[in-house]
Amino acid sequence: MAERDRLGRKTTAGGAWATRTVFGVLLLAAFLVPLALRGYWVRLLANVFMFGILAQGVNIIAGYCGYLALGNILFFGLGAYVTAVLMTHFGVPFPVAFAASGAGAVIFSAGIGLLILRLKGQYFLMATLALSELMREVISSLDITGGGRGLTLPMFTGGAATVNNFFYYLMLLLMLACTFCIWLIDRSYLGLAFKAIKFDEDAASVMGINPPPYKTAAWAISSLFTGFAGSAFAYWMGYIDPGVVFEITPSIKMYLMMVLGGAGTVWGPVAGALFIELVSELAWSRFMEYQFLIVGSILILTCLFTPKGLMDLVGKKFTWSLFTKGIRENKI
Amino acid sequence: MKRVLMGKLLLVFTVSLFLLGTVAVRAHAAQDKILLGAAISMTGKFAREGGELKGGYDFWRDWVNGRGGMDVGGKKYKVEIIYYDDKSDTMTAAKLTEKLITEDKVNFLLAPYSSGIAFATSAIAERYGYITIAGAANSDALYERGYKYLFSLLPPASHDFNATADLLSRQKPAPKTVAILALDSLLTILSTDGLRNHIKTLGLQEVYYTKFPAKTTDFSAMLTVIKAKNPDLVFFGGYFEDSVPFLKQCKELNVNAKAFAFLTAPQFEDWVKILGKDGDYAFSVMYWARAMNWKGPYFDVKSFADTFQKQTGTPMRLYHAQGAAGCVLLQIAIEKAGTLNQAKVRDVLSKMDVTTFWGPFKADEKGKNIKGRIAILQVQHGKTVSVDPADPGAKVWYPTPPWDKR
Amino acid sequence: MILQMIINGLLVGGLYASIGVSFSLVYGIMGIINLAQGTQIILGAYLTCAMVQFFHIDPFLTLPVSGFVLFCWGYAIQRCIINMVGKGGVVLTSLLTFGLNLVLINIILLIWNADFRGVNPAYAGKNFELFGATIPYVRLAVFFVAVVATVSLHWFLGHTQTGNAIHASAQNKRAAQIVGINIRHSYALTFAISSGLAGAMGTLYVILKPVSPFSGADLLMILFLVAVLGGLGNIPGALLGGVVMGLTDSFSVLCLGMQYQKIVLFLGFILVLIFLPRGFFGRRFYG
Repeated sequence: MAERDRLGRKTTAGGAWATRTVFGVLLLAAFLVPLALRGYWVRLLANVFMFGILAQGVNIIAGYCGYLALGNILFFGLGAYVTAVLMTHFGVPFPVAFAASGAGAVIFSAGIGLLILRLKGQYFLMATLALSELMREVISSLDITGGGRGLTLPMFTGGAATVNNFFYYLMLLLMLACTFCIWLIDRSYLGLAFKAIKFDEDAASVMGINPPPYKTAAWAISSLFTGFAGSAFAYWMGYIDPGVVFEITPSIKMYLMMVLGGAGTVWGPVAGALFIELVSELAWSRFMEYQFLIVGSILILTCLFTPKGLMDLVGKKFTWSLFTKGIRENKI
Repeated sequence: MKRVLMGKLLLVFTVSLFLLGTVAVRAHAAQDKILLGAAISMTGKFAREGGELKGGYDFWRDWVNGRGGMDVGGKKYKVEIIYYDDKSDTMTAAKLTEKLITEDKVNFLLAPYSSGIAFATSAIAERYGYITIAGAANSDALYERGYKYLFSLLPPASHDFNATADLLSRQKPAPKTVAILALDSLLTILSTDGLRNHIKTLGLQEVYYTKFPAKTTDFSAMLTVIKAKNPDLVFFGGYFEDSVPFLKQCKELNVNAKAFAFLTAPQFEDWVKILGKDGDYAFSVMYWARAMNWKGPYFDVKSFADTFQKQTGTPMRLYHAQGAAGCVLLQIAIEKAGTLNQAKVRDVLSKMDVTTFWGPFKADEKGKNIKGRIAILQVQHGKTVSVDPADPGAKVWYPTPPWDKR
Repeated sequence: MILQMIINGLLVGGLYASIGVSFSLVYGIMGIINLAQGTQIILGAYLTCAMVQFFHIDPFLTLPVSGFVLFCWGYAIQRCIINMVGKGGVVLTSLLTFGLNLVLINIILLIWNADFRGVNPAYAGKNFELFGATIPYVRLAVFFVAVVATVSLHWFLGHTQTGNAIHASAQNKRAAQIVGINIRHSYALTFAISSGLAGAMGTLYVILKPVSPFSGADLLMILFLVAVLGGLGNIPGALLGGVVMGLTDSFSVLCLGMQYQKIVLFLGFILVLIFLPRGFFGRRFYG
């Protein structure tokens, strides 16, 4: 029953139809949401998709490649500012600015990546963090970006529903594109190379994988989608300032979503984004005083009991030994 | 393997959709009530200001309901307010404003704290045709976007510091040189830019100007440079958390000036409490002071403070008044329009020329309050005293003695 | 002016260093990025404020108390929670500490509120002149305490049995267990020392600057920079890192102006990492 594909992984032919049906239904549902739900929910889901993109971005570089780019919000801010500057100062239409944001993020990440992707482990993590802070400070001190005063983008013309639907579909399509990209990588030689680098970089280079180009490629893909998300965000909000687009909390949130859903899986980060956003939505609308306590406790429990992510847990038979598996494997 | 994965996915999605569904069902408000909604900062960096604003809204709600409600077209309506916490985060605030309008179907919106957040929420309100009376967001740029449903309670931010400069330039011995420090954020840059233009007309010379990045807590290097320039006046455009370490470090490094002027920070009780005697002599900008003695319908300055104290049991602070003032303005406009229709209330607001306990309100075509006034406070003996317009018997303490002579 | 700038830089750097040391210690021994460290410092600061308010004592006297309270908290939290994911890798442990951070913030918010707190003893701001430079007593005292704490910690790790046990657990877990070291205890002890140090530094910090429950995040950035600059896990390195940072702060203001202070800092940091990928004194075996 278990066949193997080109890369030696098990596949089950029988599941294909069911899988495709479920997937199709969900996709259709996602596309029909704006017809059925009202403004707030459309906005909330668009927000979830945006975090889905960000989490997927982190997934490529950290989940697959093992390089913990904690400062990935850097490309989000960069994308947002490229769009904002082009649209306000040069009167460029949004689609062009959008494309320029992606290109800007890729050029920047590829350039700087060659320099700092040599750093190992936590030093790389800190370097990306410092890089995002540096970018924030540089943008704050430039005149063309309006400094700390921020920039007001041209208004999106149209009624409330049009605006919401536009950004809903934009975010949805971006997220799907990003996920499709990861799915392709996951099935290809590239994905194997990424995983080899994550597992043991020295061993990978002995096996004939030259790490630097692969690492740089991974970061560039990651930055491309993060930059796109930033660009869409800027146009969506209509006003950005450095404090909003370079905040560190979303950086940590992306990791949270990735780990919760399952790092290095195709759909995990998206599921994580959906879960986290909905839980925090519930937490602060119902239990305002205890919101951090609730989110923090969920986080601690996740790390303790489902260190491989929710996707790893769902669908398995629930037993006590499954419940404590995480602790048994990880405790010192 | 794949199949199991998709099964899991299905489960996650079903659970999420179920969650969505249960939350989405919400009872609608009863008809004889006016439902107001506010997304306000209760946690995060604006928690203090947002909390006070909410206190002001709550006070007004209880007060109106105590009188039997709001009178709209001859019918009394009780007032109810729905609150959400925007966590001082722009994105959350935008989401919540949309929720208030489309989910909770509120009749009117109450404004959030800070210009940055108001940028996002007023854009949404404008699209839906909802009025925003910005009680605590007065950055000029907000009002340059051509919005029709946005009104400001305060005078524009670019004038914030000017009254202080006017007052200080009249003192003897006359100051000549000025150092200006600005936190790199929307409001603070606007007010210091306004000041930099204004001091030229007063014949003051700017000897030092700098922006400083957000979250700076150490000013010792900057103060060393300022000390060498020896300015007569120091204008500090920053918030609570910047100004406390700044003043402490002025003392530590023995940096003296004839006057230290701040934006709104010193009016907070705990600013004075943390700094103790060292806070004395500091000037503060205030949008409202008892000495202004405005008389309006329902309240005048003094009776507002008294009623607030009696009704809530807590002493009144600035943003309490600011929040309540926005509500009172909305109330006057609604009662005058005699309808809950946003567009009609908006027309009334744009033509209205009225004085409330908060002061005069007259909007220009952009929604800025052109009649708004500013008061100057000074910390004296650990208390804030209004010096312009002056409280009875109050005098400006000037010049500030050096730190070792206090 | 130059002398004054050097003194400013040193005094600020001492404080930076001491809070960086506590972070670096946990990282070096256990490979854990403790994202709750900033808020632990804030908790220490709040404890000091509470004690000063209730007992009207000198803030410096509360240092041992807030240090001890945080020490116990650290021991418990490491033994009961963090140890359970100890082998899970750096992403998992840092997310766990981020969760702890949120819980801590909420606890502070529930006990105290979101207001800023600070203490301002009567002698705060008193200063003396030395060769034309102004030196504030309180900053000098803070600097002194911070340096003493750091140096004695370094001595403790190098010259006592417990310290050696901690070092051994960092270098080789299995070998340490074979020679009879209870590594759970030594890990918990390390974390406790780090938390205790954080609590004590909170006391010093609040004497200089006001804090709010959310100030931890700003401190975290300083912690990161100092610890990485010195080489993660290296205590004298962190001291040097802190002082270098303090001096950079000072001279960037003098030469370029306040608004470029942070640009210089972060740019310098990235350049150091590019040329010295393990900071000034990073060693390989840690982490």
